This record gives sequence, structure tokens and C-alpha cells, in this order.
Amino acid sequence: MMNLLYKATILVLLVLICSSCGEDFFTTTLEIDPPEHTDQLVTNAFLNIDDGKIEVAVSQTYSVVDVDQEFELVNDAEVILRNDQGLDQLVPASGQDFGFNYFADDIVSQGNTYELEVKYGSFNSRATASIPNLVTLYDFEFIEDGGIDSEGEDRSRVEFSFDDPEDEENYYELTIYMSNEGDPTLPSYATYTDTNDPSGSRGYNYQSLLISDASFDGERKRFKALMYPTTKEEVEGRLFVRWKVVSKEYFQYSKTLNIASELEDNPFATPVQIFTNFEGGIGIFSVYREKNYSVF
Amino acid sequence: MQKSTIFISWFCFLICVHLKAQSFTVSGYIDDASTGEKLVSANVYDFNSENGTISNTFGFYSFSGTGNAELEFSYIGYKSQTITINLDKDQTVNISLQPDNVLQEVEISAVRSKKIQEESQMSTVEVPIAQIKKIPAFLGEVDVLKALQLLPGVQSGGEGQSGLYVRGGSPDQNLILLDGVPVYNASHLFGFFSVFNADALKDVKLIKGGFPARYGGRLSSVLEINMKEGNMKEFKGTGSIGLVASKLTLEGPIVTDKTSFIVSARRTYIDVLARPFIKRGFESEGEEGSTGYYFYDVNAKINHKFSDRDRLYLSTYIGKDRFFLNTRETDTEIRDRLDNNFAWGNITTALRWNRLLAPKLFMNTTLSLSHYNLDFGVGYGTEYPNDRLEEISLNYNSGIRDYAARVDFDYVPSPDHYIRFGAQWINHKFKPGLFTLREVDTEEDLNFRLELGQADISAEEFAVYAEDDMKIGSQFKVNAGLHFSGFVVNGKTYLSLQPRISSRYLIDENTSIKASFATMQQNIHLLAFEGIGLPTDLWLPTTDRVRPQTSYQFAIGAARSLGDDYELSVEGYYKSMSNVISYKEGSGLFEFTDWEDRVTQGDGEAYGAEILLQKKLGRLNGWMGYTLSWSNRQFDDLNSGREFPYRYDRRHDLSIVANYQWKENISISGAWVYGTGNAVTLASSNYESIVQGDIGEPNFIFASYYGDRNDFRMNSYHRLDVGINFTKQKKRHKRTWSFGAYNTYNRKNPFFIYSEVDYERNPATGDFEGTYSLKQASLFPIIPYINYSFEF
Repeated sequence: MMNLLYKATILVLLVLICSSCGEDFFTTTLEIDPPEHTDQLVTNAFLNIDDGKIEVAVSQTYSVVDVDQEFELVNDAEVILRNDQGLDQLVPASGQDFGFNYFADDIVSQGNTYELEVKYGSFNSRATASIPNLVTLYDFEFIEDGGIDSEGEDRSRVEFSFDDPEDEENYYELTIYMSNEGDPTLPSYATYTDTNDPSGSRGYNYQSLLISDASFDGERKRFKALMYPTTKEEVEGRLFVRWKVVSKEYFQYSKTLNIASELEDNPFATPVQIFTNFEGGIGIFSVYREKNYSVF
Repeated sequence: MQKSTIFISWFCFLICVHLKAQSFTVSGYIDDASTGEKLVSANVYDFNSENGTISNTFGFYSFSGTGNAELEFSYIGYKSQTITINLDKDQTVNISLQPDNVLQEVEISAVRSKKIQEESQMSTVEVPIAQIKKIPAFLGEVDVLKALQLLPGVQSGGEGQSGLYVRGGSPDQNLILLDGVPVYNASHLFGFFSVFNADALKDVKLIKGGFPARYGGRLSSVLEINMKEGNMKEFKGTGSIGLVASKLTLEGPIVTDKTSFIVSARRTYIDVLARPFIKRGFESEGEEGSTGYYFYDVNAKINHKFSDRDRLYLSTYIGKDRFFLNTRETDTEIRDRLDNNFAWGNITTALRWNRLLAPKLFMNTTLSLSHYNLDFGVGYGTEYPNDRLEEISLNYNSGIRDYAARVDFDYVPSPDHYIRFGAQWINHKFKPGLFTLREVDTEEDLNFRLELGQADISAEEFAVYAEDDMKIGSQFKVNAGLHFSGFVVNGKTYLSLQPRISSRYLIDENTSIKASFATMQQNIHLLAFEGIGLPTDLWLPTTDRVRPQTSYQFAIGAARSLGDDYELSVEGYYKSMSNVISYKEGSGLFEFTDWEDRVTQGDGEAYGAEILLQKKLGRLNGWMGYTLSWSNRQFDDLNSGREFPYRYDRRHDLSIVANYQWKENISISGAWVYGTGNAVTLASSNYESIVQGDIGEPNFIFASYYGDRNDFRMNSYHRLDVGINFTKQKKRHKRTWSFGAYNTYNRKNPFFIYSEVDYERNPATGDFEGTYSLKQASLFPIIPYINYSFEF
């Protein structure tokens, strides 16, 4: 009896092992179904309240499976801007195939809150944003030998001050740019920008800095931004700062977008969901204040 | 102030209990008659008074009463012994129990051992090392932690990983104690093997909830592992030769019945076996060099019995993993060289002194060191014929070091009270990660050295505790206690008073209901990547910016003995965790920024139910465990502040483990596990998004839409491991051949998921067209093993 049991056990083991020996026995990968895709409307809308200008790009998501999908804007959507003072204005299509395909520059700055609604077919997405308070910069200084950045590289430095409004969360975006060599009235390019200040973080592709006032709420702040090493002679009269006061939503959107793009090829990283403030769709609606300054 | 009052009141209560006690005591040690090894949790029962007690970690027991007592000493796997004693004075009685062999266990099943329904402690599992050794093992390497993963409420992180995820907690929330000393990194080879060599271990106990007050410092579990003490009677040895590693354990008396030692060593040898081939490979490339990986660990312990009252133990563990790649060109005038080293390891040492201060009062004092260190170095150099040397190297070093002192008292004033109290102090030194960049050029007289990173952080941690295991009437038993801890770092002090209570009510002789509540505080954090246990995971302290993790856990349950062989327990639990730590989105390890800027803290919640049916005795033994659970996290900085499932949220987890002693010399074992797939984050859609930072035209950036974090489930995990052991008594030794297979039916279990796009030219259009596929990579197909072990 025991002998029979012994043989039966060996047989069962052999059957188990051999039955596993299919064609793909040593294959360690298996194709699986991707998550289900649902079309969503994507809206990127930026309202510069100081210029009365709104720029909107409307497109759609597409399945991860559609790798040959050409990026296309949705040009026949209905884009409506409203505010808490009764504004109800259609933002017209600009006719562009690339970039912002809805544009208006006659937006009246009034009230506190704006709402953007985008309708397209069965899609209806909307987002609201509040107007941030304008915060201005002063006491600019350019320092050739500005120290090293987080990667140990020598940098030049632009310093300036501002007074952060008290008892409110404030967020800023800073871009340092040079004017065009041929025509100094035209901007040329954003320079590499970084900072060692923990309240600031790098923007996309080192082209800007995002700043949160969490550590200096209501205080006077002296901010130090690092840029490519250069001489005073090279940049004199051509160095500018574009300063935006942005919403918390835009700050979160911009940060997550930068991180997501940085992590794209990192296998150990947990994927980052890009922030959205749209309901019924995804994207960002940002109302911001903007002012440009000449450094010296 | 209020907290101190409660604590003082508690001590007053303990003193009152002492004054009330009016009885005589019999106390002593219970050990194995053949080895002198102390028996932990051996049962002592008086048939006359129907009271009893158990031996502690050091085999010490104390029983108090009046008049005649008929005491039975019993322990699973040993023949019980009964003595009659007149309790008219305090007496010392040491007991040596004769071991019984496995087949006889069936016959001794009627021995009155401590039954599950009688214990006030709940959510606790003890798995005998002998049983662990019989479970089929990955590559034949017996692994204590992997055996524990087969218990309900305990999960593995992923394929082959030895990390423990207990009741929705993370691996850093487990207090792993080896002879009372915390072990910070309990794994070898990126988590595929644990650092514990089963040959050197005596017992393993896992506590998942209802924590007694004597433990503290972690939220989710306490894993108490004790090393063997060494045979006091005769010289013995065990060893094994396996596919991955070989090990040898020697133990014996230095002075019979007085001083003993045990030394156990294990080492992998793939690097040694492959060395000639690797050398030849380098030579064919015109280079000399070496590459490989190995790990080793050594456990050693000496114990000396000064008298019946005093005993000293000195134990140590040293373990190290090392990967290396060193090459040097030999066939050119200008020789380039490359040196890569990646090494990590633990050292723990404990000096423990047991003293029987009085028949009812036992003291254990421990001085210990625990050190975990990681070194990573990469260097490139060029040697010129004129002796010029150009070299650039980058080294990374991180770790943690503890010096600790602890004193514990066991006071047994009467059979109705078992009181424990004590205190602990730990000096921590954290190394959060230091980069050293070095550049040398002998011709240019350059010797540049730059250190980037953060300074070491020192912290002091202290704790005092008191608990009483009280019997109230014949049916009700309570273990109530308080644990008071403090953590001092950078001039800031965090204090915490943690009440603990665990109780049972006997419904009938075989059934009890249990309930427990425990609050915990954890002052150190492990900053780790989700998904893979890397030695680069950083232990970091609570600081003025990073708060301590805290939790509370409720559990209720029922326990029942089904006949003499089976035990059934059912438990439900709810655990709430605060200030759990995670990397901020996008933060990584090798960054120069302050680690405090890279982390974020949030909350966690875990709840579920566990069923365990266990058969400890007989030819066929093992267990069946099932867990239904939920585990979620919420961080303001992650997933837009919305709650999301923890990566290891596992709705169903089932394990069946069986050992069958077929013949006297043949045993068969099998383990089948099933678990819901891990929760991961995957993109379902792509789109283009705009970033505004630049000047001029907007930048469109390719973006992916993931939905909520961890909202995609990997395929479920299941596998069957089987093994068979053939044992034979030879002239001078006993040998065992073990054969088996991991993942016997070759299930392709998920390890990670990745996407791939293959481009092919379309013959009709001439354009390249892409095909997207989502793939699940598996790690281990069926892996057979063979292992030869011996003992003499």
C-alpha cells in the first residue's frame, strides 16, 4: 500500500511538472489586457487677467493602444467663459491647427471667480479658478558669480524681493529670459533656471521656477534664482524676469506635469497623475497675474 | 501630567498585587534533557488548584500556591513530567523534559499543552522551527520569513520577496528582534532570502496585534526570533549543501552543563564557482577582472551558567551582501580600469544577563548593538606608462547604528498574575546618505574631494512599560499594560503613552472569545520605493519636520480547540495609522536635496478578517489560513489628496500548508498560496498637455492619464510548492536528501507590468506602424531544488 502511495506521489509530481511544459514554458512574459480607455476632453486654458487675454487648447485623450494616433485639436467645441459678475462670453476658435485653438483678448477683469465650460458632442467639462492678488517685485540684482546649483555647477544669480500677502496661500511662476539680440524689444528664449531655495522647485525643462509661500507666508521674501553663468556685459539691458502669480491648481498641475515628464522612463518610479481641475474632463484652467521686469 | 499620574497609579496597583500575595513559590528553569536548550512557553499546570503558568523566553517559570501541588510540565514534542510538591516554602525545581520523536507525537497528543482558547494574547502565531524546515523552500533554502508569509494576515510583497506586510502595514512597521536586538535589514539578495539561518534558530513568534506593553517602536507587528543557546551536553553539528548556499552549524559544551556555544555560518558560492569562467571571459577581452555576488551570515552565541540564579548570554549576528565588478585593461599601454562595489549588511550583538532576584522575580538585562550599513562605490581610472594616474570615483554611504540597554522583570506573585515591567534606552545614529566625490590626477597634482549629503543625526529613544497578565475568575483573563516612550531628536522631544489591553473570555472548555486594543508609536521611518525591497532603502528618524508614525488597532476574535489536534481561530481587526511616510511624487533616492524635502506623510487604514485552522500534531500537520482585507492610504501630496488602495491591498489571501510524515524516514510537504493581485498604477489614455513656463509658443507635452493611483490590479498570484525529504540514520550521522519544486505547475505570476510598442513597416503604405502591448513579466517559473543536509 505504502509502495503504491509512493509511486503515485512521484507520478503526480511528474504529471504536474510535465503538464506545465508547453511551448511557452520558459517565457516569463505574458500579454495582458490594458486598462479600459474612455475618451475624455482635454482642455488647457490660461487667462491672463492683466492683459484680458485667454488662450485655450481643446483636444481629446486617446487609448494607449493607439500609438500611431496623430495629435489633433478639437476645433468645433463650444468654449464659454463666465464669472461671478455675470460675464457669459464665448471664446471664439482661432483657426489654428497647433497651439491654442481658442483665443480672446477682450476679457474684462472683474469679480473674483471665473468658470470655463467646454462643450463638444456629448462631452461637457468645466472648471473654475479665482483671480490671485498681484504681487510685485523690486530690488533686482544680478550677480555673476552666483554660487553652485543642486548639481554642483557654477551659476550666475538673479535676486529680487517681494512682499507675500498674509494669510493666503500664494503660488508664483518665474521665468528668466533674454531679449532678442537683433530686436531687444522681442523676447528670445527662457534661460536655464534653478534655485537652491527650498520654497522653489524647477519647472518644465529648467525653463521656469515654481514657488510656494508655505515657508514665508506674509513675509518679505528675498528670492535667489540661478541661471547659466554669464557676465554682466553679456546680459546688460537684455535680461528680464517674467513673474506670474498663479493659482494653487496651476501650481499643482505644473509640478505634476514636470515630474511626470521627468519620470517617463524610470522603471522604479510610481507614475504621477497630472493634476486636473476640470470636472467631466481633464486639463487645467488657470487665471493668473503677469508682470515682466527688466533685471538691470 | 495626566499621563504620569496614570503611570504611577499603575505601578501602585502592581505593588498592591504583591502585598496581597500570601503563598509559596516553586520556580526554576525548564529545558530539553538531551541538549540543555531552554524551552520557551512550556506549560506548567497544577491539577489540584487547576492553575498554571508558562516559561518565559529564557525557560524560567514561577508558580505560587499553598498546600500540595501536583505539577505537570509539558511541551509539544516532549514527554510530560509530573511532580508532587508541598508548597510550604519557596523552592527551586529545574525540570528537564525528554524529547519525543515525531511519530510519537500522535501518541502524546493527549498531553495537556497550552490551548489557543486559554491564552489572553491574541493575533499571535508561533511556528516551530522544525515545522518551518519541512515546508518546501525556494531553491531549497529554508526561510523563516517566507514561512511566516503563509500565515493569515501576513503577506509577501511580491514574487520571491521575503518582506512582511502585516495587516496592511509596510515592512518597516515590523519590529524584527533577533535575541532581543532589532534587525534593520532582514533580507539578502534584494529580498529573495531572509538573513535568518534556520539552523541557528530556536523559536519564532509573530505578534500581529494586541501587542503586550513590553514591545514598542513599530506599528504593525513584532517578530521575536531567538537563537539556540548551544548544546550543554554534547558536541553536535548540522549542515547542508544546497543550490544557493551551504551552511554549517556547530554547537556543544565548553564546560558540560555550565557553558555552551553555537556557531552557524552560511555562504553562497556562485561567485566562487563562476570565478574561472569569468576570469577567462575578461582575459579574452584583453582585461583582467572579477565580478560576482555573494552573501554570508554568521550567528554565534556563548552562554554561561554561573549558578541557578545567574546566567550570561553573548550572541552576535554578522551578515553581508556584496556585488562587485572590477576590470583593468592589460593589453594596452594606457590602461583603463573600473571598480564597482555594492555592499550592505547588518551586525547585531547582545549581551544578556539573567538573574533570579527572588523565586517570584526574574530579571533580564540586555546591552546591545545593531548596525546596518550600505556602501556603494563606482570608480573609473586610467593608468599611464609614466605612472600618471587619473581617477574619479563616487561613493555613497548610508545606514543606522543603535546602542541599547534594556532591563526586563518578570514577577509572578500568584497564579492569577504574571507581571512584567522594565525600561529601555536606545541611542540611534542615522546616516541619511552621504556622497563622496573624489578626483585624482597625479600629473596635475589634483586631489579633489567633495562631500555632498546630510550630516549624521543622533537621537535618543527611551521607554518604560508595565503589564499584568491577570486571571479574573475562572473564565476571564486580561493582559493590560502601559508603554510610555520618548524620542529626543534635534532638541525636540516626542512623548507617547500607549495603553494596551488584550483579553479572553472562556465560553466553555474549548472555546473562548477574545478582544484587544493597542496603540503604537514608531519614531523611525523607512524611506523605501514601493514594489521592491532594495538595500538602498533608508532608515530615518522622526525630526521636527517629520512626525512619528502612530496607530491604534482593535481586534476581536474567537478561538476553539477542535479535539486534541486542531485549533481554529477567527479574528477581525481594524487598524488606523497616522503619519505614514512616502516619497513625494517624483522624488528619488540618489538626490542631493534634503531627505525631509523628499518625503510626505499621510494616513493609512487597514481592516479585515482572518481564519486560521492549525494542526500542530500528528503525522499530518500544517495549517490553512484565509484573510479578507482592505488597506488604503491617504496623503495630501499624493493622488491629489484622494484615498487610494495600498499597493499591497489584497482582498483575498489563502494558504494551505501540509507536512505528512509518510514513513519514519520520508516526509512529504506542500504549500499552496493564492493572493489577489497587487494594486498598481497604469495609464489607460494618452493626451497632449501644455506647459507655460517657456517664452513664445506653448510647449505640448506628451502625457498619460492614469486614473486614480493603484486602481489597476495585477493578475492574481498563486503557486504550489512541493517537497519530499528522505532521512536516513547512518553510522555516524543522520542525513536528509530533500527534493522539491517551487511553483510546481509553472504559474506565470506577475512581478511587474510594462508596456511595449513594436514598430513594423506596413508594406502597403511603406510607413512604420506601431503595435502597443501591455506585458506582465514573471520572475520564477517552476524551479526544482535539491538539498543535502546532515547532522551528527
